[in-house]
Amino acid sequence: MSRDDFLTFTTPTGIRTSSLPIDFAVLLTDTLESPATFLLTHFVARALREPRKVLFVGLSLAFEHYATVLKKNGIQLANERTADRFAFVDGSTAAGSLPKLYEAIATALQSSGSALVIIDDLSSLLWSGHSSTDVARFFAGVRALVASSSSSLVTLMHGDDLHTAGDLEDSHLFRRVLQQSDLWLQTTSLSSQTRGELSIYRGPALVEDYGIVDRSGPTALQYKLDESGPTFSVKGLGKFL
Amino acid sequence: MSSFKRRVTTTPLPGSRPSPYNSLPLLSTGLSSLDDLLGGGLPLSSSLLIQSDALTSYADLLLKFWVAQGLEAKQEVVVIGSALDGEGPQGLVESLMEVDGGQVLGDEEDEEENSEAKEEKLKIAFRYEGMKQHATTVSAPTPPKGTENDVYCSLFDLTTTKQLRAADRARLTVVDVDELSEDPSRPPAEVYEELYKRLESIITEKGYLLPEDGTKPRKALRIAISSFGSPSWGPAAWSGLYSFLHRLRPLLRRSACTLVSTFPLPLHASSPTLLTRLSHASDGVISLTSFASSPLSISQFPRHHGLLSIPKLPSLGSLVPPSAKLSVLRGLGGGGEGRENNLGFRVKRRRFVVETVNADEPVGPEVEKKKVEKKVEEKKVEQKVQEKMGERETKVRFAGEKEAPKEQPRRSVSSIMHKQPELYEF
Repeated sequence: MSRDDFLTFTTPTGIRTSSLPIDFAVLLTDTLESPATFLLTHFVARALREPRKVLFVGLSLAFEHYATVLKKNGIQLANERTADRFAFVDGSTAAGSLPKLYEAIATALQSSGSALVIIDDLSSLLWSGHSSTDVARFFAGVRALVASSSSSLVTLMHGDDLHTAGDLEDSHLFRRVLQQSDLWLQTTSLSSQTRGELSIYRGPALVEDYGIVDRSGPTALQYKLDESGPTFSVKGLGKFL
Repeated sequence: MSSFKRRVTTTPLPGSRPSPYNSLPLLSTGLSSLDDLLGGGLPLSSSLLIQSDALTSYADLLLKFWVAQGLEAKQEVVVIGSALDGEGPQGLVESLMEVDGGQVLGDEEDEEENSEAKEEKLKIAFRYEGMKQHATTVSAPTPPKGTENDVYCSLFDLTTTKQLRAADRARLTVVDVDELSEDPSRPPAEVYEELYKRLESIITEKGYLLPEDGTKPRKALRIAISSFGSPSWGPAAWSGLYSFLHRLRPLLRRSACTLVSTFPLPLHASSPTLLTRLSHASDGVISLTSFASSPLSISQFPRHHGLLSIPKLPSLGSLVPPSAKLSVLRGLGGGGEGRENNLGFRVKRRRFVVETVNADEPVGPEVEKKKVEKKVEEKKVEQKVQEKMGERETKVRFAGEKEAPKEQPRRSVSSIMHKQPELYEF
C-alpha cells in the first residue's frame, strides 16, 4: 500500500484524492508508546506538495524538530517558511492565555488565507492548567475560524487515559472535540515504538460521504515507522510487506 | 555549491560522543548498559524521567551514576532536591561513587562465573564454536584512540565513596527546593515556578544557551532532579508539575543542558494519570519495577532485583528512536525484526547491571546450592532409613542365624538388557 493511499477522499465529481477536503476536521489520538508525530509530518508534507499553505500550531515541540524530520522527506521547512507557504505559531510562549493563542492563530490565518491548520497538541493546554471547558471553547473557536477561511484542521490529542477510569477532564475534552470532528484517527502501539496500528473512524460531524471507509478492529491498518515515514499494511498478513 | 567539501575534523564537546545514528552529541549516563538502551547515550538538550514503583532507591542510584559521570567528564552539574527527602541533594552529592581503579581484583561474582565457565568447557558442535559466548549484558566500551583525556563513560565501583576535591565542588551547584519556598509571603504552590526561574538564570548566567549563529557549544551542563514532585516539595496542583517539565523542554532545546529526574510513583498512587502526563512532557522515560514487594518474582528471578522497561525512548530530530536501530541489549541491533528482549537490573557488590531477563531463567548458583542442600538432606534421610533397616536385618539374622543376602545395588532395565541379554529375552 502506498503511503498516500491509507486515507483518500472522493470528491463530489468522483475523483479520488489524498488531499484533505475544505472545512474538514481530523482528530488524532495517540499514546506514549505510539506517538502520532509521523502522521502530523505526513500531513504537512502532503499539503506542501499539493501545494497548499500550512499553519502549524506547535504547543509541545519546537520548529527545529519538524524541520529535521521533514528534511528526510525532501522538504526544507525553513525555505517554505521564508516563502510564506509554512507558518509556525510557537505555542510555548502564547500558551499562557488561550485568547492570546486564538488571536495569534486568527492573524496568521488571515494573512495566509486557505490553509491546513495543525494543532500539536491540544492535551498540553488542558494539562498545564486550563479547564476542559475553556480548551473545548478554544477548539470550537479555531474550528469556526477554519470553516470561515475554507481551511482544514488536524488536531492531536494524547489518548492514553481516555478509556481508563482516570481523570474525567481528559475524556470530557475528547468527547467535545470529537463531536466537531469529521474523522478520527487513532494510533495504538504494537510492542515497540516503531510499530503500531492505525484505526480510522468516521466522525459525528461528517455530513458528506467522501467515500471514507471505517477501518478498525480486524480491518485496522498496521504500520512500521522508518525515518522517511510509515509503511502501511493490512492486518493479518503475519509480517509487513 | 560544490559537491566537494573540505573535510574538517570537528572536536566533539568534552565528555560527549556524536551519535552513530544522526551525529547529535550524546552524554553518557555512567552505565554502559543503560547507554546502549538509549541508543549510545542521552542526547544533549533532552530530558529523561526515571520512574521507580516501590519505595526503593534504585532510581536515585541511577541518578548518582549520572552525576558522578558528569564530574568525571569535568562537566558542571546542577543537583536539585529537597533536604526533607532521605539524604537530600547535599547527601546525594557526598555519597557519590568513585571510579573503579582497575588494578584491584576484578568483581568476585564475575570471577566466580569465569571459573565456572572454565570448568564447564563442554565439547560443542564445531559450527557453534566460532560464535560469541552468550552474554546477557554489554561490556564497558573501550575509548577510541586519541581521546584518553576525554572521558565518556567510566566504570564505577559501588563499594567506594568519592572524595570531592575543590575542583569537583566548584563544578557542582546544589539547589535545595526548601530554600526556594522558604519565603513565607509566597504561596508554596509556586515552587515549580521558582525552580524554573532559578534554572533559567543558572543556564543563562553560566553561558549554556546555544549560540544563535549555529556554532557548536563548548561545554555541556548536567541537571539532576531527585524525587521530582515528592510531597516534601510542598502542595501543588498536577498542572504545576506538568507545566514545569513542559516549559523546561523548549529551554533545554535552546541550551546545552540535559536533564535526568527521578519520579517517585508510589507517592502519587492516587493519581495514576499524572505519570503519563509527565512522560509526554519528557523526551525519554525509564521505568523500574523492583521485586522488593513481590516474593513471587524474587523466587522466579533469583538473580535480579527488578525489571526495567522503557515506555518512551528519546528521539530528537527523528521519527524513529535511534535505540531501535542501535541497541544491542534490546535485541533489535542491526534493524532486525526479532522480538524485543525483556530487561532487568541487579545490583552486585560493586556494579549496577542492566541485562536481559528470560522467563526460563538459567539456573543460577544460588538455586544450584539449594538443590545440592536438598540432595544432601535426602541422602541423610535415606541413610537413617537404611540404618534402621540394617538393625532389623541383624535382628532377623540373629533370629534365623542365617546370613542375610547381600544388598544388591539397584540396576536399571537397560543395564540388564546390556549385560545379561538372556535374562531379558525370556
